[in-house]
Amino acid sequence: MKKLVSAFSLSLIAIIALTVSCDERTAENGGDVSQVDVDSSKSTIVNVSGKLFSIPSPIQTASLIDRENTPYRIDALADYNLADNIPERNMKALNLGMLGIDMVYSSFYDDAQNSLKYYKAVDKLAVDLELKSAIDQELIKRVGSNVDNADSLIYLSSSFYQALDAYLKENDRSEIATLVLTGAWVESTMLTAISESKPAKEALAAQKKASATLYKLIAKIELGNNDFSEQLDSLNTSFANIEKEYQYVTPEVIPDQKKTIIKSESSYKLSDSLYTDIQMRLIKLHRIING
Amino acid sequence: MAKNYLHLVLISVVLNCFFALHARAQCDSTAAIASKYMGENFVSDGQSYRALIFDDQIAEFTTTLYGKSTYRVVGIGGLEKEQLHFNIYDEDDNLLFSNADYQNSAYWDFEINSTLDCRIEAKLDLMKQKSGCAVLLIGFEQ
Repeated sequence: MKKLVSAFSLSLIAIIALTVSCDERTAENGGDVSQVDVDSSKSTIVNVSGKLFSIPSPIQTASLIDRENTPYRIDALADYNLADNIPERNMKALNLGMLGIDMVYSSFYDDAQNSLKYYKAVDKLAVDLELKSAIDQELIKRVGSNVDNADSLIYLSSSFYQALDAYLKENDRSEIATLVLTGAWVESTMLTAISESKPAKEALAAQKKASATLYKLIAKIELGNNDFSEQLDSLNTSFANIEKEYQYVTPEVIPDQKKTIIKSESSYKLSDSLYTDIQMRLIKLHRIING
Repeated sequence: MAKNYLHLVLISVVLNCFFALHARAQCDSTAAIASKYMGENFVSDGQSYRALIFDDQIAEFTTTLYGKSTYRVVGIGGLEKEQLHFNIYDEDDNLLFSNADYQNSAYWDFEINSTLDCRIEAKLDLMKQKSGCAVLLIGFEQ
């Protein structure tokens, strides 16, 4: 009985210690989550240096390219053959994001053959980064079997990258998640920039916020590649020079459809010279990642 | 004494692992519930937004929603719907939407006229639960 009481006491102490440790971990969240902007009038904010951050879906960005009026730029895409020869994990992660975008982009232009090659390269990198076993195998197979169907591929590859992102973040590999997303962002933004249409210019300017978000996140990662860091720094400075105006307009709510129409207006001023500057920096980043 | 201390450490480690696994499993279950609300027309943005939050903690992030697009935001806390508040603010901190005005609706659609930089925050409905995993999903209409 004495032993039982002793064990119970120990367990109780352990639970209390654990509870305290859990609270502390949530507050700082293992380097993934930091507290910012805490003031006495507001609740504690669990923000967002690693786990909770968001940029526009790179796949959506690529899907917004005006394909009817913009030629297929196969010459600008990454080299899928390099997937076999990337020694360094960070570069593998950047390429995993980048090649995934090229897989979807090729499919948009009905180039299933090329899309399949990118799928195989993505699959190879997922294996190298010990990610493949964590993702639903059926989902991976379905991505591969839908390279000739752009609509399905958008849906399936987005699900694939979301599963990847969740797995990496839940397993304290947020840095890899950030790099995968960064590779995808660089590629989708570069493809948008070189498409040189009016909608492309607007979509490029809309990356101003995403550029700043990624820059802050990447700055915390020891990349061991000065060229990449310097080029990202310069790119972020260029994006920061885009002027933005915003006008709030009261939203319209349609409760029975569970929908709100956001009527606020944003406009960007992006000069031709700044557009060219951003375009060139994105191409350089693309080459550094997939050089 | 040293033996007791060793026991304490061992039990603590075992319990820590157990609760960490439990928290992860709960987040997976919450994410599975959330994904049911995304709907077939909406494509995930490819990112995962999960946070274990306690009491009045707020999980937040900023993002950009493209103009001329429609998005669905799903928010689930714990293992039941309608236990999570989520609010969306514009860049000037104007409140654009709060699901608290609609019985903590698990999802809501947003038709975006012009590209919007916004902040999304989520917190537990403390009348219903004091701690739990918050999962948010963002999808764009295809």
